[in-house]
Amino acid sequence: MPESDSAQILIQLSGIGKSYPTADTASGRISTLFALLRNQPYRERFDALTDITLEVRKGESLGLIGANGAGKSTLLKIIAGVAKPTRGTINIHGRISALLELGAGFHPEYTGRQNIYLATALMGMAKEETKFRLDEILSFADIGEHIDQPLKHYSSGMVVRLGFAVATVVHPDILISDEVMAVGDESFQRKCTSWMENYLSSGGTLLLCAHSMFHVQKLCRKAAWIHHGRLQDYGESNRVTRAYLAWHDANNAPKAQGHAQAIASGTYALLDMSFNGQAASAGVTLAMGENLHISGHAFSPDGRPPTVIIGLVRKDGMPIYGVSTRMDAHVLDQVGSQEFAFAIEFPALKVLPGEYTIKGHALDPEEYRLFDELTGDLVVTGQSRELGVCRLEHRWLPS
Amino acid sequence: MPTELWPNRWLFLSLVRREITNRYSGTLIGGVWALGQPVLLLSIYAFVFRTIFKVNFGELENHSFTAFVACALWPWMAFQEGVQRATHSITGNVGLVRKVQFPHELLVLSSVAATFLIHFVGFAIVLLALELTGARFNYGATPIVLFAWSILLLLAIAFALAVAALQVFLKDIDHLLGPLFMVCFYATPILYPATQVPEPYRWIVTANPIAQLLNAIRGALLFNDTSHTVLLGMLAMVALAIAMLSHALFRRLSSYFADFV
Repeated sequence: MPESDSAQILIQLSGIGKSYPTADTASGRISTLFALLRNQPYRERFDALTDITLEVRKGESLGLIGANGAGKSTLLKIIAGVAKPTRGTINIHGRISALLELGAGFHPEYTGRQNIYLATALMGMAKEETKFRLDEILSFADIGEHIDQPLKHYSSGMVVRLGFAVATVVHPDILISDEVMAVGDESFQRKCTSWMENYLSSGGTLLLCAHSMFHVQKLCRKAAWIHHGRLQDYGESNRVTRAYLAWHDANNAPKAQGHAQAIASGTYALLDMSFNGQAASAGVTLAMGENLHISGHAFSPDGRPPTVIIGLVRKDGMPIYGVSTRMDAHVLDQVGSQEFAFAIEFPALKVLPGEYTIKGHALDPEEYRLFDELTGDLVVTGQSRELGVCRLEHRWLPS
Repeated sequence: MPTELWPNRWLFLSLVRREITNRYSGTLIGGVWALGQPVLLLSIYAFVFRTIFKVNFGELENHSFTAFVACALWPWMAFQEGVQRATHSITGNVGLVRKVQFPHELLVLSSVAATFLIHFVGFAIVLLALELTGARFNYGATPIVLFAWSILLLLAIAFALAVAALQVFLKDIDHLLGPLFMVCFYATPILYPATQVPEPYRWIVTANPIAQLLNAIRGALLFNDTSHTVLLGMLAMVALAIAMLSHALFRRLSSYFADFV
C-alpha cells in the first residue's frame, strides 16, 4: 500500500528484547542491583520478549494478539514507557496515552471529582485545562451525584466508567489500550466503542492488546501475533488473526480416541472415510459454497446396520453441526456380510472460511454407544469478513 | 530534574495532597495526630530530663528546656519522618509505577514535601504556643531559620531518593533505617547542646550536617545567633551535590521500578 508507506511513522521498534531477573535469593538481588547500576545484563534471567521489530504508522492501528503470558502486555508497557527494554531501540513520535489499566492512580478516599483532577494531572494536564473539560468528562462518565462521593463507595463498573471518561479527554496521537475495551455495562461499552471509532476516523492510531479477535479485526488494520515472546506473525489483521485462531483451535482440541482400537476390538467401526473422493486422512480444501461429499464404509460385528454420525467441529472442538443416520431414519446399504456403505452430501457448504475438522462416528444400531471416531481436516477458503462459523441465509430489507 | 518538574507541577501538587489525605483520612482528628506525636515526645523529654534528672545547663541562658528542645525536635522529626516515609513512596505505589508513565521522582518528592509541610506547620504552632506561655524567640532571624529548613528539605530529598530507589530492590533498607535514625537522634544535639559533647567526640557533631542545621535554627531563634550564614551556604552546596548524586542513582534505577515493585 503506497499511501500507507508515506504515512508518518509513530512507533518504531527494532530488535526489542526484555528480560526479567529470576534470582530471588539475597545474593541474587544484590547482584541484580549491581548489574542494573553498571548497565549490564542479569545473570539469571527470563526472556519475556525477544527481537521484536515492528512499526506503527499514523492511522494504521495495530492489534497485539497471542496466548496469555506471550508477552503482549510487556510489549505494551515498553511502548508506553512504563518498562524499559533490555535490548533494542524504540522511537516514538507523537503523544502517547496509555490505558494500561482504567483508574490506575485513582485514590479510594478521594471523591470522583478529586480523582478526575489527579488522573488528568497524571496524564500531564494542567488544572485549568481539566476544569475546562470537566463537563465533558462528567457527561461521558454519567455517574450522576456519585461524582462527589469517595471512590471507595463506587461499584467497579463506576470506577471504569470514570477511568475511561478521563482517558477520553486527552487526544493522543497513539492510544495504547490493554484489554480495556470490554468495560462497564452494555450501554457504556457501546459508548466506548463509538468513541473509539470516532477517534480512529479522526486520524487516531490505536495500539490494542486484546483476546477478542473481533475487536482486533474491527479496529486494527494490522496485527502482530506474539508467541513465547517472539513475533510469530505480523501483517494485515484479518490474515494474522485467522492464522492465530487456527493455531489456537488446533492446540486446544481434546485428544481423539484411537480408531485402531475400535478396529482391533471388533466392535462397530468406520473402515474408511473420504471427502469429495479423497481419503479423509489427506483432508480436503474447498472454497466456501462448494459441495462437500462424505462417503465411506462401516463395520458391523453382528451384521445389523450400524448408526453413523457425521459432524463438523471447529479446531477447538466446538461442534458446528452433527447428524446421524438414525435421526434422518436413513438405513445404510449393506455391501458385505459385515460391511455397510454410507454417503452424505452437504450442498453449497455455508461454513465461513477457516480450518475445521470433519468427524465420523460409528455407533450401535440403537445409537446407545459411540464406538469409533475417524477425523479429517477441512479447509474452507475464501474472502469473508462475516463473523461466527457459518453463513445464515439473510437479506436486508428496505425500511 | 527541575526542567521536568515544572510541567508536572499540577501532578506534584495533586500527589502532595494525596499524600496528606492518605495519612489522615478516616481519622477523626487528623491534624491533631500530626502534631500530637512530637508534642508527646517533647513532654516526655521535658518530664524525664527536667523533672526527674533535673538537667540544667548554662547554654540555656534564660530559655526553658522545652523551648530549647522544641526548636530542634520538629526539624529533626521532619527529616527523619520525611526520609522514612519516602522509603515506601515507590513500593507503596505499585499501581501507579506499573501502569502509568510519569517521573517517579514526583512520588518521592511529594512524600517528603507532605511530611515537611505537616511538621513545619507543627513547628510554627508549637513556637506560637510556647510564645503564649512565656517563651521568647527572635523572629528577626526568620530568614536564617527558613534557609536552614530549606537545606534540611534538600538533604531529606537527597536521602529519600536514594533509599526509595534501593528499597525497591532490597527490602532491608526500611528495617535498617529505624535503628539508624534512633542512633542518629541521640548522636545529634537535640536534647543537649553541642557544647556539652566532650572533646574526643566533638567531631561527630561537627561532621553531622543535620546537627549543624538544627544548631543554626536553634541559635537563630533562641539567641539571635546569625553567625551560621556562611556555614549554611556551604551546607547548601553540599546538600545540592548529594542530591544530584542521589538523583543520578535514582534515575539509573527508576527505569526498572516497574519490573521489581
